[in-house]
Amino acid sequence: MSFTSLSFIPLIIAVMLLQWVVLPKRAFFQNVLILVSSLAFVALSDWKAAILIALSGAINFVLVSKMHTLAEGTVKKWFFYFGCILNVALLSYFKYLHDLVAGLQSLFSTDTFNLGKIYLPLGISFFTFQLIGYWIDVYNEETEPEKDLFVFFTYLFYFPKFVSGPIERLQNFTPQLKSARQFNIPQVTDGMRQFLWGFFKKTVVSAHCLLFYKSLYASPDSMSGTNLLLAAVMNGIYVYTDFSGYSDMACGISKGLGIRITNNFAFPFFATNIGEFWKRWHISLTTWIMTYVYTPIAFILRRQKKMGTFIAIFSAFIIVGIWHGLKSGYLVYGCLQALFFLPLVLKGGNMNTSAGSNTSGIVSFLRMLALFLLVCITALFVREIPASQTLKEISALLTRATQAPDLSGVLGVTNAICWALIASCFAVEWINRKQDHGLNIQRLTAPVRWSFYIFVILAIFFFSEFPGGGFIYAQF
Amino acid sequence: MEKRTFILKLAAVCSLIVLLHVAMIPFVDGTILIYFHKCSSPKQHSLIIGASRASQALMPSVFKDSLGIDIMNFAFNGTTSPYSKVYSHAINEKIEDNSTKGTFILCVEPWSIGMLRDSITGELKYTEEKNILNELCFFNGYPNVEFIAKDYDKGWGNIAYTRWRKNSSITGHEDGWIEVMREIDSTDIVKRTKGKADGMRSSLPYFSFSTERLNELTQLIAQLKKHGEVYLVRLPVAKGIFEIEEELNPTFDSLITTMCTSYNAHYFNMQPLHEEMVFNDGHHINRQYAPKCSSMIASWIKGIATSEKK
Amino acid sequence: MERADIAIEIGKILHSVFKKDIEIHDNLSAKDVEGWDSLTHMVIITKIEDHFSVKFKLRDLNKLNNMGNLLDLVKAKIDGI
Repeated sequence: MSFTSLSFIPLIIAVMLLQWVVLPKRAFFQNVLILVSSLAFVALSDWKAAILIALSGAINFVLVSKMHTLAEGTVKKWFFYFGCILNVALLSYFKYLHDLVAGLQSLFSTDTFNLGKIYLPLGISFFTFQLIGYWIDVYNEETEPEKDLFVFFTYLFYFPKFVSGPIERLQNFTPQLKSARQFNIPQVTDGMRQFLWGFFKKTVVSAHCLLFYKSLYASPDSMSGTNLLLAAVMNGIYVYTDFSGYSDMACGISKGLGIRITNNFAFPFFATNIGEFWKRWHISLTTWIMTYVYTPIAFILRRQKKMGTFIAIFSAFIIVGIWHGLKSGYLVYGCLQALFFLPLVLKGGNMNTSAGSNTSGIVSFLRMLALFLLVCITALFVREIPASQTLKEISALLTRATQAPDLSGVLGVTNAICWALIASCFAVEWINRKQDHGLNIQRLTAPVRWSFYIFVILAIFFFSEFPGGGFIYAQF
Repeated sequence: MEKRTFILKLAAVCSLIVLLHVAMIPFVDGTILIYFHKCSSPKQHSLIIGASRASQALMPSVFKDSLGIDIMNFAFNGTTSPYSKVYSHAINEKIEDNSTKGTFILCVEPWSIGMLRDSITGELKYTEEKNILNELCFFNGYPNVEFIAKDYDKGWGNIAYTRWRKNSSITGHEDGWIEVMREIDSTDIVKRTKGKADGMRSSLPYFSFSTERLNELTQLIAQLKKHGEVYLVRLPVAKGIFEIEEELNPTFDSLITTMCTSYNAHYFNMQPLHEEMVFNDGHHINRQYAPKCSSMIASWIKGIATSEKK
Repeated sequence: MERADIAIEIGKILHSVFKKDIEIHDNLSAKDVEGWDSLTHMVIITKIEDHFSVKFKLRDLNKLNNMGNLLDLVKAKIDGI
């Protein structure tokens, strides 16, 4: 089940009606509703994952509570390591073992072990990272362990964030479950706007970009540099609108239930440097990586100054790459992102990652465009294609840059519609770039707001596509 | 804003959106969703059953003229309607409950009683479980809104636009016949046939005869016998394609013949007549030859009926 | 060293990092200062350690929510607590 599937609509309407109309306005009833609907959502999407998470959640719940009772010392430290390793091992088995074995076999040119396909539970990366973060936060005494298993399960299974995040810290989420949520019209309305915007990005813009990308990619070996670049751009926009569309829908649904979760995107394509980009892209993952990977390593190596900073950044982005999977493409992607940070690190000083405030409009725009193209080209590595092939394509992009573009696949009514949809999407997001999401237009007058709504609804009505396949980040 | 105003506004917007969608329903036809009419008709007492070859080769109008029967073409394609529990359920839902004098033409070929395996894991692929027939609760009645909602994969506004464009190359007629607007062009046919043959040959290692599918076919025949006469037909294909099918299942003919004998069904192997047909791609009969193919089958059925009366 | 003195010294450190005066008060947090992010944070922490000849633990830093917490931590380190 996904947020854009037909079967999801009656579920969410039922949940909203039950929460705000039928059930008493008490935390207990609201939490029961959230947990039951979340369990139903997960079980209907992937019942095996539901069982796995329930077991894993229960074991982690008990072990973390036990760890918290231990006195400071070696035993507690090793207990903590054991807990983290347990979760990493679970994730590694389901997500990395197959690729690791395949990679080693390829490296040593052997075919001894054939693991076949290993089942990948839905949402495993997201819930594992949440659990590891929980272990670390309790060990570091940043939060008390959750005493209520029911609340803990609600946190783990919470359906708006289950499939593709955000990776939410327990202490940011569970306090909202401790008291009854009140029906807040501005919040619910804003949630509906955000959901609508996410739905538009996913079913209209993302779907058309994917179709355009696939049509361009019919024969990659003979494409001109321009066409290859265009394909990279379409792929980049496709990934952004798919993932941010999902995130907007998740946040929107959650606001509708009176719960706030992290917004995973803050208009990353409007960033003017790589540091700013990573503060705006997949925010919950980068926050997790910064908190649990970068900061500890940077702290340990703080005396090594720039070298220490760079090693910490490199480690952080290797984890970002590996988070996607153990394929060569993802590892190259992580390394490249770290390398892009090198100029920023070498610049030293106050590492101001929001640079650009003193630059002129045209310079900012050019920086934005350059960064956008760089991000799109490197995003080619985040595909189910070996890194070597992607490298060939990128080098072809450069070597065939002067080759005449094949416009037959670029022009035409269908692609003109795609361009118009992309332009309108970015225009709307630019207008609302200082807001928390693309359709946060509460500040505008009623006629203007309704014009936006009519535009988005009609765009969905006429141009949406539901080709199946769910959300791109559900595979991670 | 007051809660009441909010709810009223929300209800008004939702109602308008629903109305917009409802307004599109009359525009849905066999050019928008080629299988729409198959699942929007009333229940039937006679059916044509099979995959895409049957959907394009057998014209119900020809059977009506020749045999005087109202028959619906309820054939889909190889991934939606191989012989399976899913297809049998759909067929049972489609048949009038108490009918006993129906005519059922089942098109059989090695692929429809074969099973595909995953090339890596070897897992069997029940393709029908991921297709429309497995998702539907309702198979009859106009308009089948459930069918539109579950099969149409675009925004419904596109329905009106597509009808306005009127450039569909495939039409699903009201009697279920699928007409593919392809003209006879020998160069195009050679290219397509080679493409299809190459595709079939490359899938051979992962495709094998399935006793499960054969059992489903057998049970279906037994079930249909309660509602009328059952006729099995092996539609002709181009020589090269036939050779591949013989590799896939060399005992296919004898299997079907034996089964028909056991269940008192009739079998017409049309392969010897393949040179009288023109195929778009080696195995789908061109629309201009569909009347001829249907006519041959109708004559055969008439012949059986006549000899049985004697 | 008094807390107020620590605040003045930290003010000078922040000035050297951000090239502008930052008013030190207990509720000041990284979010209030443009450019104070994870990268800059390490630079500031290292300068504080060097200036006051103290050594922080990662766990201490994770609990810092605002300037008030930082001033208390530095004072505790100086006082040998």
